[in-house]
Amino acid sequence: MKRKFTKRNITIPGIAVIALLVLLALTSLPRPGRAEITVSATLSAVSFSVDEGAMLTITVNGTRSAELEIPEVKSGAFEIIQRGRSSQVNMINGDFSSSITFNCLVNVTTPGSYTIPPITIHADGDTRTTAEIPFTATAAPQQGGSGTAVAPPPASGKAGGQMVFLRLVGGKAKSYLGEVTPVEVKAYFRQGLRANLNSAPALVGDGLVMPQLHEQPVQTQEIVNGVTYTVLTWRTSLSNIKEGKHTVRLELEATLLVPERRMSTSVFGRRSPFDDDMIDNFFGGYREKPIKAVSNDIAFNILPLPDKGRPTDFTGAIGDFGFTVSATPRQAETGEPITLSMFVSGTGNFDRIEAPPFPAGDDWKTYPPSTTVRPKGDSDAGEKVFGQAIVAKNPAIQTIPALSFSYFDPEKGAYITRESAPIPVNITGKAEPTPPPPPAAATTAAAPQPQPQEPVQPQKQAQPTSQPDATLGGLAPLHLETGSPVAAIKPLYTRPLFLTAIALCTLTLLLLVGLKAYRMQEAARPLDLRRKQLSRALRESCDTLDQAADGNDCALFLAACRTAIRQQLGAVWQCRPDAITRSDLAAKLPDATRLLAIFTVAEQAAYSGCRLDRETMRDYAATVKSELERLL
Amino acid sequence: MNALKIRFPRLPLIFLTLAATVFVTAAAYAAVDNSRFHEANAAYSRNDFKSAIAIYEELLQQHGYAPGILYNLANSYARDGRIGKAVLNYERAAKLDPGDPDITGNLQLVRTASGLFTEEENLAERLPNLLSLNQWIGLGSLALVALTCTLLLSLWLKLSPRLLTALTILCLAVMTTAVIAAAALAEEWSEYVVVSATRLQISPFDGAAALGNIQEGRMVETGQQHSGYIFVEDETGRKGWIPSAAIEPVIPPRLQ
Repeated sequence: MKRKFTKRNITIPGIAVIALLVLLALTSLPRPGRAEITVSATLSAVSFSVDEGAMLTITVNGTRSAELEIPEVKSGAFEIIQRGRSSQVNMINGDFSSSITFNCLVNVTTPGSYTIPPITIHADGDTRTTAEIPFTATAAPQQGGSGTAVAPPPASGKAGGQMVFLRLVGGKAKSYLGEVTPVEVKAYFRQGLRANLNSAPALVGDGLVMPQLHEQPVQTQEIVNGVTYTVLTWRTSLSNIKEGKHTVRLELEATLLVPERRMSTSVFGRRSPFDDDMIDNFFGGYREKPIKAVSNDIAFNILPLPDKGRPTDFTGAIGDFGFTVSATPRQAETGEPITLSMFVSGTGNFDRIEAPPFPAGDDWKTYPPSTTVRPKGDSDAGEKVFGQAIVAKNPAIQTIPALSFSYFDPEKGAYITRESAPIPVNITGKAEPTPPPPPAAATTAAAPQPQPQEPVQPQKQAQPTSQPDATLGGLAPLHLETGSPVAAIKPLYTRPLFLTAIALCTLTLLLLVGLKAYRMQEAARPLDLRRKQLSRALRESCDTLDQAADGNDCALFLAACRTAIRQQLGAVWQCRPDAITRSDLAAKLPDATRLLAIFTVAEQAAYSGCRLDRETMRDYAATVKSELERLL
Repeated sequence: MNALKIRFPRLPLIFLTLAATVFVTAAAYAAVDNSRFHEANAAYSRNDFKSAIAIYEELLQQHGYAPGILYNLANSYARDGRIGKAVLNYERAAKLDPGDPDITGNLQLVRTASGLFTEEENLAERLPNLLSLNQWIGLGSLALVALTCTLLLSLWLKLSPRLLTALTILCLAVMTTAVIAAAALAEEWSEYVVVSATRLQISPFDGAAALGNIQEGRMVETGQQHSGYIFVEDETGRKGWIPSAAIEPVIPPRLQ
């Protein structure tokens, strides 16, 4: 079959051949002659700012390999960091020359006049040093430094040009004590600037609090005065906690990654050879610079809530709310609980909204309400739902009474009371007796009382809401015996005695399981087991033989020989040992074995007696042992 | 023989000394001042719950935790309207005497009367509550001992393999059930009780927005702590920060 001649078939071998030829050509080039080694060092600028640095270029001529030995600057005012090396081979009129160029970055931490010390170069076993280079480092231009505050934007509209600045958007200059205002915290970073946030923005100052910003900010881009900024936005809220005029500010700690640009340190002068920021940054690297961005001072005027017109059931809710009530089931027997659901929805400080009190009376028994807050979206809008169990005690009840909820509307500057309509219900059954008055704290902890005088301070801890109930009179009576006292209530499993007993039991169990497993493993290999049993029996027989030989007891020795041979052969031949005769041995054993002769002697001795000396007995014992072992 | 004659009288002596030491140590806790106990009971009977509470608390501090004192103390707190403390002490009494119907009955009554309703438990959730933690541990230990003895006997006695397998499976099943149930119940031993109603906050600092109120008597599981606040999750699954002082552990610290 004719092979298809494709382009691919040509290309790969072709490239390989060309590469080989080029390699040969390069290796066959004449080596440059050994020339005198010279070194030179130049600094890209004799005066530069501390945040720019300068490029130190060391050129070594006349060699193709060299090593730098950069001395440590004792004052610590600047450092020399090697950033790369390059080699060159030139051919001029047939003469080859080579050189190596080392690029080093000179980083200065403190402005001042310094001198780069001589740098040692080792090349081809030779040592050269560069000349000292004096230079001057000037202070960095003002754009935020280590641990210093970044100058905030001077005024709205003049923020352009700053590296980093913060803004608070949405705050109200005039608001009321206890009011919660949704705001946006914006951190502006000039485009192209790389930064890591060390913390989320925090509010510094009295009178207002802002929750910690845990959520990830939204990242957008904005143009401020013609400058493009990357903007991080956190949506949060400010709570007014103290009346009066207050000034606060925002703070943000971050680490700027300042590019070590080649532009200012290039051997080509102030201009980069690439003329490209991305490439310059890639080759230049970054230096970390911690900063603290601080916003302008922001003034707030927090007004007290007016006393005039304050409803008695006002608990501190400020905002704009709606109020609805529902009940299920509408038909119930006396003593059967009805769930009353109260919905407060809108915008405002939901944390200060408490369940509207159920009107006091003997017709209803009420339980403390449960609370659920359902935020709506990212704003301060939401819904707070109170679920309260109420029990009708009187079948004459026809409606659940109207409930009211009061709040302060900051836009209108007035208190608003929302009232629900009475809910018709159908109560059946018998009237429940009016419970007797609770014994002790009943009068002190009746229905929750509104606290009109202190609605504005953040409530650290709510007052107990439970109240003694008449049904608690049905508690089982007191115990007249104390029972056995203990110093600590602890479960059984922490008591040392119990733990020791369990540990011992577990250990025993593990040993037993291990033993069982071993036995099962043995039982699974019957041949091995049989071989072990035979070996053990042979060992015992041999012990008997040795004892008889040591005691010079010929009769016992020969009887033991006979028994040992019969037992082992019986086990091997799978027959009864006492049924084995001399003829069996003669028929089944190989001719060369001495077992037959020993067995014959032993058999004859059993009937006619025989005398053997100790040496013969030992010889017989060794023979029996080795022959039987061989048979096994 | 002489050695025996000398040592023999010492054995009962050592035993008696040990027994006396144990007895004296136990008596230190066992000897509850009954007159004070009856005094507290009398105060309760005349509806002077605050005096009764003070005396019961004093007895606990002096003699240790006794189920009778904890139960009576819980009753006093309940009648005094301090539901959180009542629930706490009923729970503690139940840990010491889980089979006492008065303790469980009163605890249930106080919870119901205070609106501390909990969600209906399914069968899997109800199963561990059939026995107390210590009873489950005892049952599991018994199964472990039975399994060990069975295997030990099988070394010498010729037990039928079927019987041996059945006994092993039974013991293992009982042990597994006991361990699972005990693990479920052990969580309750690390719970806390809200002893004073408080606000459930979204952040651990004063003035943080509230998620609602948490009722006293609620059982909560705790998490990390931060500047006087502790993160909790209650029986209904609500999570948030509350002041650390608003809760007390069901298992109290060891008395000195």
